[in-house]
Amino acid sequence: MTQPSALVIPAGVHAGLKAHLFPGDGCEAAAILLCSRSPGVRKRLLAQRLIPVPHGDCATRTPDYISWPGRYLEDAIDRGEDEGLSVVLVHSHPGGFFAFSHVDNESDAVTVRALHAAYEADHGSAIMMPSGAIRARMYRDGIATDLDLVIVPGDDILTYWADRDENQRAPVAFTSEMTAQNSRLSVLVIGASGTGSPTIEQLLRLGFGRVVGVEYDFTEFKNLNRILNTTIADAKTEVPKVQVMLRAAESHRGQGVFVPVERSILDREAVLAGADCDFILCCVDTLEARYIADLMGSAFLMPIIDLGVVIPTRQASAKTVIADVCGRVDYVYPGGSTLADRGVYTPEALEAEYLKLNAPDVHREKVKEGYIKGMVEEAPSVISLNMRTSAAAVNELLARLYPFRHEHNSGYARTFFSLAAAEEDHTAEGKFKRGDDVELATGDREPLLGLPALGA
Amino acid sequence: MTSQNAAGNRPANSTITIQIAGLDLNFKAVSIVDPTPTGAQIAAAAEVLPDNDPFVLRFLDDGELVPILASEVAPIDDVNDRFVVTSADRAFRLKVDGEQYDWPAQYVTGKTVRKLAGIANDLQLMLSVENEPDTVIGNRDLVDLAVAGVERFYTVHETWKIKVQDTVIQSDLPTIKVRDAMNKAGFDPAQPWHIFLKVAGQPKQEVGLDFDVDLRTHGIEKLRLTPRDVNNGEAGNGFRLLGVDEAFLAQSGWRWRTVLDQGRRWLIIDDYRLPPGFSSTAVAMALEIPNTYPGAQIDMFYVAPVLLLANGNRIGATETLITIGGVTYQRWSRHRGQASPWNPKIDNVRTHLTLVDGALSREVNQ
Repeated sequence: MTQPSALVIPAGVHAGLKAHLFPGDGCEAAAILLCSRSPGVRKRLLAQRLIPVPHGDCATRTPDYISWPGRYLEDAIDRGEDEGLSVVLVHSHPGGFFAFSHVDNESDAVTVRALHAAYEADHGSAIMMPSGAIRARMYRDGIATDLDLVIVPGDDILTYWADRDENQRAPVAFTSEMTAQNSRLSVLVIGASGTGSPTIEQLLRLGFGRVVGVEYDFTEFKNLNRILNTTIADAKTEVPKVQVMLRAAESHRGQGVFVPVERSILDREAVLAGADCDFILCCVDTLEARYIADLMGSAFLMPIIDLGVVIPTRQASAKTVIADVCGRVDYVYPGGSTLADRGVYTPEALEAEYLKLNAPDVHREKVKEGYIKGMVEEAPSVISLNMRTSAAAVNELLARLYPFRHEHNSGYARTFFSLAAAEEDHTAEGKFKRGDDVELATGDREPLLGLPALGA
Repeated sequence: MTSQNAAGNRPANSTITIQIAGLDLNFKAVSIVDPTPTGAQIAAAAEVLPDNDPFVLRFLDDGELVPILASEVAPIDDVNDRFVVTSADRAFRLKVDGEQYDWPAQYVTGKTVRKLAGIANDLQLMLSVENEPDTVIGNRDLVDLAVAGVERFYTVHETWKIKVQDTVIQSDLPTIKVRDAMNKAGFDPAQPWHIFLKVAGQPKQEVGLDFDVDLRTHGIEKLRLTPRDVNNGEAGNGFRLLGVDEAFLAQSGWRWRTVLDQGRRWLIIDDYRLPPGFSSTAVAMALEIPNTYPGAQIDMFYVAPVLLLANGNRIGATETLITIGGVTYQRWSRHRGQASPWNPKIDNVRTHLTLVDGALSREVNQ
């Protein structure tokens, strides 16, 4: 099944676009989006930069017509040519006409052709409704093709489909309409073990059209107490965990839905396979994998849901006692605070983890010498805690796609629960310090994700 | 224009020889029994006569075409004077940068288009032909205006680009010496390099420092550099660093390599000069580069051989020894303070080496 072609617009860019295209006078307005490309197979254009065409510079602006100076095209060409960015010309239809008019077609025939003459890339045009809905189309050899989906990942994840009307309301959560829309969306799940396997199970049962599972490890006897669908036979023959997931997926969803990637996410091929998805669920116990997820989220404009579980213990009169039983779910969207901003990992912790994984003796010694602050060990978690956290993570994704909370989603950037204290805490997006130097939508720039280790 | 200067050494009243071509543009030597032929005589001497109104153009050495009227005496300087005989039955239209010009002949040269449109020397003339890639038009290139769709010329600023390793350099001239290209990209030509010129679809060609690279070559990609001295087959190819690191190291003049050793990843710089005051003047400097670099920090540094101060004193927090590729290195436990934590957006090998240099200087600047 071919995946829907998509234009992904960060929430901040979408808000800026809407404010500029609907200045309140009821007349059409125009802007230009420069877009990079996601590096996978699927056509995913990533809005990297917004160039507004000032209202005062337009020769004509009426409720159903606009004429604007071509020098802004040149501006876009100058900025986009080196990286081969796609130029998408956007204008508003204040009347809410969710289709391209014959005037739009005639205008494209001239302008898009000029863009193609300037440099070869996918160029196109788009229209925006007062509701914020966008329809975009790209040209190849003079033929326009609508992009199937325009997606805006923010506090809520807005989806605008080319084959639906302009008042696109998100389907109601937990209905068959929700399942129908899920079938057109795809999720990358990093990790297929304790928290990954119940996450994959839920996403498949919720009808997601494609679930890519990245996991390099194989089944062992010690996994049988917490990885769904693993069997004694799998442990005996050391079946790769993603093959276990594939077998289960095919038994109830048929072929072609679950895509097994038997690699570490620190592998170029795994990143490329993941870049074709819409969302990332990060079900891992290493910081390096979270770092890669964080970079993918920013570079390929993918919302991330990162989950972690921990059961800290303490010594009390020579006995080990449970200090707490905790789960954490973070929702990160491109342009918001990153996992790095939230302190989920640091340069020091990544370096310490590299030593721990590659030179354990040196790591132990450095901890002893006090060079590395003791890291919180992720204790072998248990299936009941894993499933609770995994369910919270999957519900988080649904809440963003099909809002059902009483309060705005921005209040739930992080959910932290303690089973010992029987408490659940929420941290709002605004409470996290945002690094202002994150570059969004770098797309297929090399080396992949700016990491020499992922270079071609 | 008529020319009375007797260039060459033609006796008067004798036969002259000139080069004439018809519409096929095959120039042939033709004799004319008149040292001062008119346009009409030259047209008559051409073997291929067009059906209508022959029209003569003088083809100057720099590529300019000068119309010679039927009654006008053609200036003859030399046996290699070239004339094109074409037809003047209609004017041809061409556009340069959107401006329209009429030209009375079927053929035009780059030089003539430049003159017509007054194009500055530093601009390059381009021809846009439908359904074909745009081409550069040189001064002496002839363009047939009768070909359908040929008419649109435009000008671009002439800069030529080539990649050297992974740095793009620009040149104002269409050719550049390998040596100059390397200098521009920050590589030291004095270092021993194997230099390969890579052109799409062709095998790589090894070139020398004085080789002239023609930047107009179709499909030209890059100059690739490989150090001549490859130690243990591990020069710079254990793993990649950031582009900025590799460019910095390349222009530093150091010999360096990246090495994978028992799961650990090292950048090793040979002959790293030390400030005076140590037991050695230079060391091999090793930095550990985690696989998640630059997200992960570089911490500490390692030197071989083991250093003492010149007066024989030991140096604090350098007791730990490790081996990399069978060589013993001394670990300097020097870390970033809380005040200056590693920043993945800014920090790299170069910034870490400034900390290394600071740590070394502190030991000897008592």
